[in-house]
Amino acid sequence: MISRRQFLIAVGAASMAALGGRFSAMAQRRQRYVSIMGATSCIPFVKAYLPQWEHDHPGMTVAVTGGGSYAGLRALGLGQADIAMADLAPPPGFLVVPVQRYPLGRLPIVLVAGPQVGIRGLSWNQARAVFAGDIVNWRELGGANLPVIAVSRPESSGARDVMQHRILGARPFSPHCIIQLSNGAVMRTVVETPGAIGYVEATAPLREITVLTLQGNVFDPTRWQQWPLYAEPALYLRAQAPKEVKDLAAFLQSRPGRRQFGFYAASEQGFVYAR
Amino acid sequence: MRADRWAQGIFQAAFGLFIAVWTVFLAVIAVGAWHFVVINGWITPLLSTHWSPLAGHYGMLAFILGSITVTALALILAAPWVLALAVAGGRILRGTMQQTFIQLLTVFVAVPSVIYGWWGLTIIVPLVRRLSGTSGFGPLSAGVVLALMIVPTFSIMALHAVRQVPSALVEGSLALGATDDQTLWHMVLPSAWPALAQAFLVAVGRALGETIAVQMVIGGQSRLTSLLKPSATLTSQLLTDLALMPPKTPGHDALDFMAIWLVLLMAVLVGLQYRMRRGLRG
Amino acid sequence: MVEKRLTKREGVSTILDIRVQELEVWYGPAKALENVSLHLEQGAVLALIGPSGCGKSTFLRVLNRMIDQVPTVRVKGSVHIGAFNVLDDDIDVTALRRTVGMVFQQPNPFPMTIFDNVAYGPRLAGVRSATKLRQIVEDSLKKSALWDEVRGKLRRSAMTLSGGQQQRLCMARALAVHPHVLLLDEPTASLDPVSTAKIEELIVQFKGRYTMVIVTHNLQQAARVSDLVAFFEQGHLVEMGPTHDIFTAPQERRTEEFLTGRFE
Ligand SMILES: Nc1ncnc2c1ncn2[C@@H]1O[C@H](COP(=O)(O)OP(=O)(O)OP(=O)(O)O)[C@@H](O)[C@H]1O
Ligand SMILES: [Mg+2]
Repeated sequence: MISRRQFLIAVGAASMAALGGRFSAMAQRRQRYVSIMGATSCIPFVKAYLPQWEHDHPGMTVAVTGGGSYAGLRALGLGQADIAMADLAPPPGFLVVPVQRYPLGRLPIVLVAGPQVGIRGLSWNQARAVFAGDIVNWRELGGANLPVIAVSRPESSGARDVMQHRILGARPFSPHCIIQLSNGAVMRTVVETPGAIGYVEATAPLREITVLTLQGNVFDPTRWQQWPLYAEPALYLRAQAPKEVKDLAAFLQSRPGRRQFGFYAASEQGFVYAR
Repeated sequence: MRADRWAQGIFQAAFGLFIAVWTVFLAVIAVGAWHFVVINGWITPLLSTHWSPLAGHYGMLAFILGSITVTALALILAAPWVLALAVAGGRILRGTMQQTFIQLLTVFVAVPSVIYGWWGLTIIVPLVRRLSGTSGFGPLSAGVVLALMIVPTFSIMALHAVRQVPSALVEGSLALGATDDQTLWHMVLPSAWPALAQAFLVAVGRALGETIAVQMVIGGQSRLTSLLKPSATLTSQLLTDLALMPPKTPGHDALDFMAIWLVLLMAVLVGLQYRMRRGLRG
Repeated sequence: MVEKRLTKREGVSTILDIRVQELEVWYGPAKALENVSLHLEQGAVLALIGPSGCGKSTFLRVLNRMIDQVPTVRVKGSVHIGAFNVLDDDIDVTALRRTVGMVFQQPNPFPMTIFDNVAYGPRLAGVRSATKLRQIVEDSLKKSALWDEVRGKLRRSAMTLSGGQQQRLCMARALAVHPHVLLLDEPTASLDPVSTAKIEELIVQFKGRYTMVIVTHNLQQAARVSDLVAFFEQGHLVEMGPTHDIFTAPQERRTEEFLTGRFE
């Protein structure tokens, strides 16, 4: 058996180890290491261009972690991350340090349904009624006699944030919504469930699925300026971030060819920032 | 002599490390849970189902009930099947068939739970939908997916429990004219009981602690009105809201409080099993 | 129905004889017994002796079909115990095993109370009445000379008994289903001399009441308890005869070498 003294020593040693970790993190002064954290929708794009930047900046290492927009912004505020990727605006008071925002462009969000619903599009009001739970059968909209099954993302999702503000307004999501954590899971659920409707960021390939028109607008990647529903992902950094970090953010912001990742660049014609 | 002392040292160090790591681990959760309790009390969150963490409502009753329901469902579905598998693998199959079966089960243990989740999404949920006429998302689907997920782990442990029953006892029973069935029910299973109970608890732990496979098929709503309507468990909600409430946010303490509840639920079960064992012996 | 059969057998005190003809046993490709034939009168005690691995246990385990536990086994020839055609595929193995009891080398008490150990067989055979069970348990424990040591402690776990007591408990357990034949595979191999003496005493007492086959490595024990001795070697029955004759004037040279310890 272990004695009480051994037990106390073990507990003490472990606490010391935990504290030690803290101090060593603080001791890290000169920035050779940049950490990016936040929205998963931004990760493919960021990762695609990192090797090039690292190549141009020998000795620098960049780490990318998901965790969601909130986690990224929180980590930025706490100094645990240098850059936060977020596809929603931080709620008031969420960030206590001054930050700089580097918009990445638009990330279109589309409403998707299975072909069985018998509907090709929705108006803003219809979309609100569907996701708020007012409409329970597609028949009510002239579609098939199928119960409406709305699929949503959790509150931490940027896409849900856009849906909440642009479509639902003051109304909450129906408590009968099915919650899925990722674009992929939403897509799969909509494909597998007759009568289901969901919303996804248009980064995912939209196969086997009907992309609904919204207020008569047809989603067409070549005419993305016309599409009215989108998130505005951005990189956030602390205002007094080191030069390398700002350089990295500016580099990522200026990359062309983001479309393959679903981003439509700010520099492209006709784009005006909402904020 | 000296080697002896070395070995002793290593064993004690291993044990000490175990105590240390898990003390810190529990302490971190407990501190968060304590913050939560100080602000929100501990009764209100347990008796309310109003979960809206950004607005400061932390009613977790539905999640606690959801966890219990889904876990119970999974074990009710899995246990008889697992027992049959354990008997088949431990007493009926022989030689290479038996070895292959054990190896297969061992391999299946490694299947990641997200695969079970996808698979539940594409097979179980549509099946439940077809049979019930609802959306198919809910505790029933989650229970079925969990049942299938725990079968390999549970079966391996149960199989070894059945196999470790000494053949002297089995032959002793048969020699008295007991049939194979009688020997199974009156000798093998009672003798294997403590190990079976242990296997059962590990399965409960696995089911109770599962996150992603449950989240993908349960629907994710903070209600528990029916086995066929979207609801959530402590773990699935923890997973869902972790991104919303990262560490050092006010809501994060609520997640710690939920985690403590999982540990408590498990502790109650372990305590019950201990009582039952003592009851059997005494 | 089972209970009826049991009750009926109790009334009739038939003791059974054992007839074995041209018995052959293979474990997979390995032959363990070859061309073994013998006849054992009812009520007699036969001791099986021979070097380790010669097939004594195998022979014993054929007699109550315990050999079926080995999946690769093949058995040929004919074995009759009373009216039982032992090797018949359609035989009621349960009835055979109740008639032909067995005690193992290692005492194997069940992990339950002393009472439940002895009552195990009768209960499975369908005896329900508590009075009847108590009677059977008491009778069996008396027959195996354990009663005086355990009376009043029947609700204790059998695991609390000493090794010698455990072996006598196993005897009592076997007796509780009213067998006519007893197979004892080195029943004293793991016991101290005092416990061994007690078991031997029981065997001597049982003579005439049960037909017994006992495997032993202790030649003095064979001499003390048995009426007949069979010497096995490498799966063959080399010689069988009255105990006195075998020990004083064996017919076969191999038997003599074994008995005089010149056996390699
Ligand atoms: N289950 C089994 N599978 C394969 N071979 C076996 C098995 N049991 C026994 N044998 C073989 O059959 C032969 C006879 O074994 P058996 O146990 O009958 O010998 P024994 O005379 O009882 O020996 P001992 O005095 O050591 O108990 C041995 O060669 C043994 O290796
Ligand atoms: Mg033997």
